[in-house]
Amino acid sequence: MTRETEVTIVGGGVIGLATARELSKYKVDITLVEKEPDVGWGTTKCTTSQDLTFDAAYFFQGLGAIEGFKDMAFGPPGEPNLVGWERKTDPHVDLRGRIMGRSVGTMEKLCKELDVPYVSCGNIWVCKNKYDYYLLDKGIQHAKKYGYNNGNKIIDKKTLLELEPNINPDRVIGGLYSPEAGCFQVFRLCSALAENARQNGVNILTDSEVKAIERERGGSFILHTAKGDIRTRFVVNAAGLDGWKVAAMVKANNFSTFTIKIQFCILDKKVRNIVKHHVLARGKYNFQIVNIGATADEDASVLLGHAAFFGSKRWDHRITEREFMERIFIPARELYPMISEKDVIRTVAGSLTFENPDSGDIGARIETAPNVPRFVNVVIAFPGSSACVAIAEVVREVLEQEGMPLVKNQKFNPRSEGITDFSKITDRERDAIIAKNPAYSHMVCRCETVPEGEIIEAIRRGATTVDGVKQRVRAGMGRCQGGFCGPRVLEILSRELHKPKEEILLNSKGSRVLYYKSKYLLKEGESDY
Amino acid sequence: MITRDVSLVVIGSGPAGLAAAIKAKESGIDEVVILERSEELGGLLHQCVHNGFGLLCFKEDLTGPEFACRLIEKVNELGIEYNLETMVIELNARRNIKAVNPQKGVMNLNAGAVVLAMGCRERTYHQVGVMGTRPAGVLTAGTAQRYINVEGYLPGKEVVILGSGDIGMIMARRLTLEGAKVLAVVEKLPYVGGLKRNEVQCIHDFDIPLYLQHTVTKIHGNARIEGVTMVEVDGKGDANKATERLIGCDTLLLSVGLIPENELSLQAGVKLDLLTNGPFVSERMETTIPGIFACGNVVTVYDLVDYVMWSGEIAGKSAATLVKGKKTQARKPKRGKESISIKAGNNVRFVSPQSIDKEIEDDVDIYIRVTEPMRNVEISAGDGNEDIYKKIYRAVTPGEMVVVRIPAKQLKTHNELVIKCEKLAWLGININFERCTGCRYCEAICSFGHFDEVNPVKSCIRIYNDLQSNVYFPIIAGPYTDAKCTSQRFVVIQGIEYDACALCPICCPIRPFFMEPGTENSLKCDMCGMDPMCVQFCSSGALTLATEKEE
Repeated sequence: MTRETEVTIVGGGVIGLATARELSKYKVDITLVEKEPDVGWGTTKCTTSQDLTFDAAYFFQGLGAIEGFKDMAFGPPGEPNLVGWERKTDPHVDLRGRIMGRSVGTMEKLCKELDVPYVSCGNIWVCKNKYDYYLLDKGIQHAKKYGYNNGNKIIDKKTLLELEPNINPDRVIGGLYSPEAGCFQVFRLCSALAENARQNGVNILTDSEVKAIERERGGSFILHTAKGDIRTRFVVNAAGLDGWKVAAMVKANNFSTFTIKIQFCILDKKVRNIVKHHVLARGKYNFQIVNIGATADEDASVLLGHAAFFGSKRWDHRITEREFMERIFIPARELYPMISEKDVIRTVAGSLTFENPDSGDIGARIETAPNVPRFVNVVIAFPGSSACVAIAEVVREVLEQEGMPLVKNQKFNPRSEGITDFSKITDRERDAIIAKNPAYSHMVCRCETVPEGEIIEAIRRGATTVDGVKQRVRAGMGRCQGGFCGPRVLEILSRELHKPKEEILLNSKGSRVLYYKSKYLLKEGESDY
Repeated sequence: MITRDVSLVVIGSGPAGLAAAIKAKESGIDEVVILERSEELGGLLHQCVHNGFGLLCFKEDLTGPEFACRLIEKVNELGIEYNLETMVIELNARRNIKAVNPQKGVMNLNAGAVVLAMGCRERTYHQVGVMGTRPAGVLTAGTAQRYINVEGYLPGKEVVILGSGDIGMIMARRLTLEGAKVLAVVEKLPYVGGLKRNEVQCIHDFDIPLYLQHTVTKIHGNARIEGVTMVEVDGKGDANKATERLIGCDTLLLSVGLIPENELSLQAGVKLDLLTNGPFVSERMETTIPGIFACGNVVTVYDLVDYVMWSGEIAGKSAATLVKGKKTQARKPKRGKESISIKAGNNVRFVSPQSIDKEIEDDVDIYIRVTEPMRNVEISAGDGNEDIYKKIYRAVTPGEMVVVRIPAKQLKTHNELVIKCEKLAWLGININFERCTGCRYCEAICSFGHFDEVNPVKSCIRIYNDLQSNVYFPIIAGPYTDAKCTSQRFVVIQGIEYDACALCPICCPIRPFFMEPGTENSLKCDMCGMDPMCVQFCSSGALTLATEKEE
């Protein structure tokens, strides 16, 4: 049976979901297909989700020549070439700038509507030397040109040390401070976007990898997914790392993509007070950024060292010892010498795809493939989650140009209620919630104080995997990393989803946690002990 | 919401918490309340289905659940109140406790005294720097133990275990018994981290490859683990990249250390000793906050559940004494006036408890661990002038705690006691099996020298006769089960291999050998001070004094 729909969004990351929600403001039949068992698990899972205040591209590229950027990407690190660099005008680069401008203030509003924690922690881009000041200056001009220079101010060393008393004074000379910039929890944002989209009529299908796309005579597409066929009029390719694959299915790959690997580690929340704001700085080599910061939850752990570099394969999410020390830890410790390896509770890695137009600059491509009408490709490395609202609007505009009828959906409800965070409410509220639902009194995750009731709620709202629960309610994010709560979360998932425990996954397809019931291997003839 | 005043609250119902609650009740406190976050009392004992529990305190060889049941029956007999599925989320220095419970909702308890017995959590692979990917199939040994023993599921079938702590070794055996294949136990030190008896009974007995001075550096596999990279490390812990090899597996178990769970202790402001990762405690198991006591693994990771239980009993009794109206005597480690602070000296990693009240009447057991495996050492406690405790050990290792019993009578004007472990200038007893003729002079002189009678049963050295081959094995009663085979798995006599590990049961304290008849005290060799008599009297030269090089 072929499902009929008008717009299919391929990819359930933050961009795909934001687009789905944006389109649900209109009377269009929307389907979103995601290949993993849960949303927000691809590129999205490795973002730092903070408000945009400065174009990271400046720190990435340094001041080298733009031509031959590809060579620079794989070339040796070194001092940037100070002479004669200006960004060429290129529609894709311009688009990225315009998206940054349009995204000002959008995330705070979105998080409020969706009841996702958003904290105005403030951003500081730190200058380690005078080149960095030069870059910041260029960056501010860019910000002014595109209209996202809200509240940015260049600060000197003295002010920086007042703002960040623990930073190493020998390594910094000043920076760019944006007091209003905020940060948010991207996982919760994804699940909230998904819920809100669903509430407003979007069909979200997980475990539905797109295997092939047919083009019909009449101009529609037939998507052959792992869970069945979909006939759709418009396609939005927001598949992130696999975007090129999906585009290739209809030969709509009019873009080139490179991969940046992002790695970071998470520090124990007891060192939370070391950093007062979200701090970013250039890494040891060009094309690297060190990112140290508080995440949106006051209780949450510190995220450290988002180092990105080129030359990596698309799905290579390994972290090596050398990478960990050289690119994440040592640069961060340079700025904050009191950080120790003992505080690390987890390492994470992921990749971004970015578009490198002929100008060599980092661009954004949100446009229909020239040879495939009504097939819209979305490629933008960064800003990603921080500009998801603006990007979704641009996608909608492109679809409109392609002829998608836009009649307002009067029943659109922008608001969604988040899952009550037991660890943050008052005792009176706790009693009330326990009285209504005793499952809230049964603590499952000790490190983060998450009761069974919250976990069941996460499952009700779409979590089907252990990490899906973790992303929605933090169970397993604490210092024991799920050692205690893991088996209990698994049991709850098995019970609520009516699935045998051996089938419960950790996160993606094939990541079973358990293999067999015990004694299975001892069946006659099967054991050699 | 419930608010109540309670005389004594015990947080945690593992062996430490249960023992504390029982002792407190027996000492006359009526209102003892246990708060337990799991669905049943007993803590982690329920998942420890192997035996070896209670050898010292009950003189029986029980499994974990059996041991737990002994205590739980007592709790029920005494009518102690307990609340299950109750998680304490807040604790402060004034002993106000906030907990959440299914039936009662939020509970606010104001306790006259609190006993902390929260146990430990396991270290994760991120904390030991294992890099690579982060797929499913990587879990800590304790979590795997829960899956297998309590829930009845196998996490995988081709397993590599990183770390040779007790849990890791126990799980190596457990997985093998369930039909899984344990491909390797990988340990970065040159010796195992846990008890010797586990190394013998779990790894060697099952022919599981043990790689000492190796570690796992990388995990491979995306959705599910597919393999690990193992590499040799040198004395400093540096990896020798040339020795890297890939081991294909579908499960990686971590047994890389336990960390006492002191989140609540920190909330209350209790001072922690960085050497033990647990609170500073006095000999009465009181922390630096008056009225808050601690016992069990939350204080330091003990080897044996017996020690855990005894620490709980002390805490329970002390808390009862406090509640019944006697003065509280919280000890800050640096205050010299009313307490003696105990310090870890040479070759000693930590001591627990860390202070003793000057006016104690009973002897105090101090638990220590040495920093590295050593042979022929003397462990002593003194203040630099005079040693009030001295004992010779043939072998000590970090994986096995040493109990130093401080004699109360000898504490005079001490302000500080340093416990140190020094290598003896001399040696031990070397046994050459081939030469033993079975004359048994050694048995006679040992019992005569110690008990004034010639009675082999009271000797610390016994000659075991293998009737089939008519070979004689001298066996000396060593510290624990470490009788002779400290480094040998087998003995070759006249060209035939004998599995020396069969000798272990003979030397184990609960077996009929090496037990003083009538008193059930274990007999342990003390080298006769400096000059072992058995060596002097050996007629065949099978027993000789050993120098370091020979051993």
